[in-house]
Amino acid sequence: MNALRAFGALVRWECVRELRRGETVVSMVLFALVTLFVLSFAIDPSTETAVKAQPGILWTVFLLAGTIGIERSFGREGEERVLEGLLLSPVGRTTIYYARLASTWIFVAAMETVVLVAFLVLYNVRTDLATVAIVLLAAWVGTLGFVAVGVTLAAMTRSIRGGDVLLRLLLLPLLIPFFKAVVSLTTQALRGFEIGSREIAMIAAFDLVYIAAGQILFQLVVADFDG
Amino acid sequence: MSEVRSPRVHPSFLIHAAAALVMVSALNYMIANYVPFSIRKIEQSYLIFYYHFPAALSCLVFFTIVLVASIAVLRTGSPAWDRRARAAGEVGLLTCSVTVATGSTWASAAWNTWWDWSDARLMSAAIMWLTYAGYVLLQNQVEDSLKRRRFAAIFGILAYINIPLVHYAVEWFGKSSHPETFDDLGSDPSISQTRWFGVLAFFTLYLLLYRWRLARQDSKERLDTVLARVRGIEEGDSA
Repeated sequence: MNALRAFGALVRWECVRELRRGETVVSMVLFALVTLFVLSFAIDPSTETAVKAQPGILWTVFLLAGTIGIERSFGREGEERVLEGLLLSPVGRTTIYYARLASTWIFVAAMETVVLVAFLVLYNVRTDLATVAIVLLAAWVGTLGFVAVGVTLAAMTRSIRGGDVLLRLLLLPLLIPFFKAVVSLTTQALRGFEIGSREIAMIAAFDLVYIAAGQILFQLVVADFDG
Repeated sequence: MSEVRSPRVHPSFLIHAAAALVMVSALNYMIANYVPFSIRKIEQSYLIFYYHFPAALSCLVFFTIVLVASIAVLRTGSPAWDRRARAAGEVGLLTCSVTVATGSTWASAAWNTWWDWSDARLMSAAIMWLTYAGYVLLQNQVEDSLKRRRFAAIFGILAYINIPLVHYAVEWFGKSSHPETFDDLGSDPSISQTRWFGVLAFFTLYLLLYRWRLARQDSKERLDTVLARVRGIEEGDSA
């Protein structure tokens, strides 16, 4: 079986599983909505401050909800031994990594799409379709790097006691550069400014660096299956 | 159990400790008597710089040691490199704390704010601190030593990649009041002499701490080996 077909099969399998059960995306969306409501009590959405904070609020919610999807990308240790099963199958580790990256990316991107619509309504953001498209595109592209580093860390922390908290502790500081850039880009888009090249450069660099690093380091995370 | 030795302090360790003590004392003397007491704009508050700069530089050195040792661990699986990475991570976190604390104190005196969220250097240091706090936590939280070694090494690499990314992100998308060059500090030669002597003195001190952590790590692992063996014998007896 060549790598591309294996990749397609793995991604399809994950999507079918998710479509049947809908656990991951639904939990992420609900968690994101709860967080949006909690934040609306922290910063009154009708004030000028909230308008300025909108991009930050949106991305805080995306990142926090996204970690749920990342955490579940390999199931839980002892509960569903998904990763072990995959590693025993005759599929290359690089393929497994990219398939997991792709399926987790699809789920997180789906959550972001739904939550963005809810956010625009709840926070009463008046904007045009082109702006929404730019924000969504930035979210989708940026989420690639976010998920790439997240999947590698999730493969690691799932076997550690207290790993769910550890995953967030390790992951969130690594996301700061991306967060800074993408919030800046969203601000520019929502205010109708021209998108800065530095923002795009930072998001692209983040994606490339962490997809490459993730691919290499993922092999090392699962290395003990060799022996 | 021939490898169990009574803890004895190596003579070179005592010499190292004495050197660190003398050098840091000499540095304090220089700060009190040799350098200008006050410089223009930021006045006396600049004196904390002689503690801040060595800590910041040492912190980068120790995090680089973490990176190099982590790569070595992944290549060779060597426990010795893992101990180096672990000790460097701990001392790096400490020097990073000193950097942030002295920087914040200085900011309070010079710019009248304890925490400047828009300052690129302060924010990079603080995020670096959070990242390596996670690293030290990871080192302590994984029980299986083979796994711990490899996972920590992987994160040691990711954490280092993050440093330049954070730096540029905060620099590009924020504004900075941090002095970018040392020109602001004036041209008196005593300033630059004391600055570099301070780096030497504090690095000697931090290196001492590193050696201490390394030695402790070493004896802890040896103790674990002995305990595991004793447990094995006990289980063998009961079976």
